[in-house]
Amino acid sequence: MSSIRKPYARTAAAVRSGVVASLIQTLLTLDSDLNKSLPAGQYALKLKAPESVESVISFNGGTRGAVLNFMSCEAMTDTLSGGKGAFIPYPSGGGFTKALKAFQSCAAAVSTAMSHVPEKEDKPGIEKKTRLLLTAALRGVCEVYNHDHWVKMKAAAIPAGTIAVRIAGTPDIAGTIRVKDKTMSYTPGADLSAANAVLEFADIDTCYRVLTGQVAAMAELGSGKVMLRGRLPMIQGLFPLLDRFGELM
Amino acid sequence: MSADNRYSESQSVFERAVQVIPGGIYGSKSPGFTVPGQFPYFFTEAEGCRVKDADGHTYIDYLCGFGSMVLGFGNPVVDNPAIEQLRKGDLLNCPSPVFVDLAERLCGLIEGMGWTVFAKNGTDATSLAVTASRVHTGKRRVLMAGGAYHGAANWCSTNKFPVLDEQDYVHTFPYGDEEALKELFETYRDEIACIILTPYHHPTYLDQKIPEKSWYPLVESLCDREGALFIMDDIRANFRLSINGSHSYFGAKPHMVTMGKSLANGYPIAALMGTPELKKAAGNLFITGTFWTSSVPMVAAMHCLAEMERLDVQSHMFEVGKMLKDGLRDAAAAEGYKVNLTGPDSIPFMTFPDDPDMYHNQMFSAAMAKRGVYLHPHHNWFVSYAHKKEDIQETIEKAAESFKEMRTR
Repeated sequence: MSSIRKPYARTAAAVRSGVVASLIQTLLTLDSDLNKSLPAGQYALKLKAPESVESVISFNGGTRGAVLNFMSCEAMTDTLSGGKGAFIPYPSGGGFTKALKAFQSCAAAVSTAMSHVPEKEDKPGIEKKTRLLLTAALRGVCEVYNHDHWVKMKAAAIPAGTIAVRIAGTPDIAGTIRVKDKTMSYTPGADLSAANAVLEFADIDTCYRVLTGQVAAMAELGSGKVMLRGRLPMIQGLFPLLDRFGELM
Repeated sequence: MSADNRYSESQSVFERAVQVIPGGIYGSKSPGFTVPGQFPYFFTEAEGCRVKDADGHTYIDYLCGFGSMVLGFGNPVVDNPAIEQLRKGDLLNCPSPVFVDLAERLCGLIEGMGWTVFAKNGTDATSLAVTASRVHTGKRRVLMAGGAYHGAANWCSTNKFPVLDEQDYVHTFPYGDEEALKELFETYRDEIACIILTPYHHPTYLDQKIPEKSWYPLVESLCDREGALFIMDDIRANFRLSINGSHSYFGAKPHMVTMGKSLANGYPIAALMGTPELKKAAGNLFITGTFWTSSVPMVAAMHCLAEMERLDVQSHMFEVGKMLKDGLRDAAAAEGYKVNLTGPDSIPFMTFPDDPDMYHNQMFSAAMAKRGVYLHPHHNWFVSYAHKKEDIQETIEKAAESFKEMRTR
């Protein structure tokens, strides 16, 4: 039994598009070759589906360019999973063609990066993959919370505030989840002094193995390689969201 | 913070646990509720007020089996007759006469109560009480304080899933908020079966709150007007405030009282008691459980009650609890920390008002565990009759070291 129930189409689409958008933004900070290959200028692409599912990918700080308007949430999920789904591209300002080209290149690069399994000795490869996986997990958790009513009910007790997620000794691999007005958002980076709670992995290897499912987070929690500090109900509320994210992805 | 080899055996057993038990250890005993990596997860033995973990470290214990050990671990006055009964037979086809002895004893001891039924855990007793109130009043709604713990049943637990609809008729209010309570009684007039309250508020993660003098008279008058029942959930505070029930300590007059934990100094038994006029309502319920009539815990309870009365354990626990609170406050102040020490002296808890996220609680508890004192970072503490002044003094000295260590980090 991998899933207790079929996901809402809206949830699956929101998670998939949010994760793809965040992964592209992260990859752009890691891959200078990819950056150089993109059309010059500032522009953006919006992934849009019915039921208010939207994710924006900004290139060089741009805010307008193209919209991929999917006919249904199912079409969005299928397309962003590598299948075929109906969508209509239309311009939302200058840079329409650039935005489409850039998205095509970046989506392919994300797909390649996520399917790549680094060798055990490939430390830079593991580090890069860990960054991407952490981005996907944190953004995915936020989208599950915001769009899955069932899980949101379970996670209703998560108090407002911020959770910093980081790897000890590697402060630049980090993310922050913010809960405000019953909405959860993700931003890269973490400010420990301002966080209400901290979820910390002892090292990159632990984070990588947890995020790839090689070890159970709970076991690593017990061994102290995954640490929780601060306002624990905030972090405990993340676990059902992470479970659901795993089921959806 | 990082993992500590001091707890390697606990961690090793836990790694096995997660393979075969959901979550490894579930509920309030989960490592995630302590300071993971810097706390023991498994214990092997205990005596008096000291417990030994799976790695062989000994701690002065302030959790007391989540409150159950009121006389201390391994008390021979309780254990010897219990073991004797075990040899004669624990779970028999029908109850042993001690079933009646204990009910008579409790009815004579607990103020205002006229009948008793026995179960195993607090959840059994609170759920029975709520059911009895619904049966008696013919109404459905239940009022409880937000953040209060009344057990792990779905009507009151953190299991919040749409398919579990037991909470649809359960409404919460901030503990002690008289206006909010009046409003709920007004909103659901003629629909309220009961209000269930702990004698004082002991929420997880937060300061404990003693009720104002006007609180119980208000609760009782609202229940009278509504025809609702007042249930006192005394599971946790049981016998640490008064031998006659915590409601007598606060001058409250509930219709039903639940108890467990310290009733038998750690043997598994819970009880629901009620006023004489409610006996009929309770008699209409189908009440049973395979182990609910087992004799050993009842024998233990009889001797635990007698010993608690003989020793006046409440006075002792208030005295050592106050010593602990004062000592911790002074030790914290010496290092420049402001702390809140709340709750009755026999059930204290400490928080740092300048750190609502509890980072300091976690650092302090981890530092104390390293020094051989088990003080939970998030759950209220308990003292027992087995805590002597020397144990408290040792705790305070180690607290001074721990606050100093925190200051240097």
